[in-house]
Amino acid sequence: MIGSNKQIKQKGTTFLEIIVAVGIFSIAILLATSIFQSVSDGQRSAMVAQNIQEDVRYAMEIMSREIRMAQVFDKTKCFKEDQLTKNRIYNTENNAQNQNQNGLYFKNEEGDCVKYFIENNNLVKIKEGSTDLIPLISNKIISTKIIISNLRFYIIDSPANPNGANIQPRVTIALDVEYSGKKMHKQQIKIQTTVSSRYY
Amino acid sequence: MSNVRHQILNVKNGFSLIELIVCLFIINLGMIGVLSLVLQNIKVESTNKNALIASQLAQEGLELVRNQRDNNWLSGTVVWTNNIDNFPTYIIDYSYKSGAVTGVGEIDDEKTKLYINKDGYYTHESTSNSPTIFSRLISAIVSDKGDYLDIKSKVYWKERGRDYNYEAEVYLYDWK
Repeated sequence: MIGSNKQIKQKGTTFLEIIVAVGIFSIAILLATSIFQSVSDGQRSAMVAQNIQEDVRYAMEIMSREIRMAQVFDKTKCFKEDQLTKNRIYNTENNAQNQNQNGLYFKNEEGDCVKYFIENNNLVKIKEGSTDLIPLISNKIISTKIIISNLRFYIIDSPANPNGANIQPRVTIALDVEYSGKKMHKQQIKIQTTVSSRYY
Repeated sequence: MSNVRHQILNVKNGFSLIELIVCLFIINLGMIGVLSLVLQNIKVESTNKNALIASQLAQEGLELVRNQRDNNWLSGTVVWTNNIDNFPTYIIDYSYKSGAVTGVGEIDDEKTKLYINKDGYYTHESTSNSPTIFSRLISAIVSDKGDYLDIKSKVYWKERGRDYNYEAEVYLYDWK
């Protein structure tokens, strides 16, 4: 009696049952993984945005602070190759490769020559001491993972004004930034600020 | 004998439907929690990005007004508040020329909207330029004694149907 009962209970699952069970199970797993995937993607793009913002904030901060405190040029040359407009604080130089971009050079608070420009999609600052004792320093300002797609300086300075020197110089900085990575994580920032010279 | 059979049957019982539903519900709750946290994160990042741009634009407004005051000093003929306190609220942008200040009433005025021009700069000039989500309004209040100007630069933007704003303020004096 018991033996025959046990036999009935030990009966295995049918092939159809297995297929249905596996099907339901795989759908559930698929749903779970796709949710996990989108969560991790979202997290990554949030992280990318965070990194770009940090770098952009830093770049704008150091540039505007140094530009604000720039002094008037009393010499005709700053960097060896660059001809400067005398009695002017700010000078721009067009980028040979891209007409939409330009670089800005000026004499900073310490009297060193400073130039900001784009090179290989990165923001670069070069600095040269007014005496030859300080060597030329070239620095990439921000992470190489971030692409600076455009950088422009718009200057209003004395010689640009036909009425003479009765104008306080100002510089408008426009910076376009994007992240170089997977397409889905592409983030863009177009940022602009203006700095009025504190040199009186 | 029937008792033994009953017991064996009971041991082999699977989950009930109720148990399964409760189990799935708890798992889903956890998943939704994580997902909503990430979504919230992305939203905040986007708001942060716009706040960063707005902060720089607000700063630009203040610098332009300061530039106007410095130009007034340098001209030697006009009062230091010239073109700054003509209107209680007005607009000014990076390409401003002395004397080109026009009064604008409120922030939701179409004139306060910022556009991107062909050179890639934010400007108030609308013709043939593409609009941005940002608007900027400058307000200038002369102090009671007339010795300083209270300048406020407000940047507003709309994002996912919500209004955001960023305001910067500076006191400008007639001190050289």
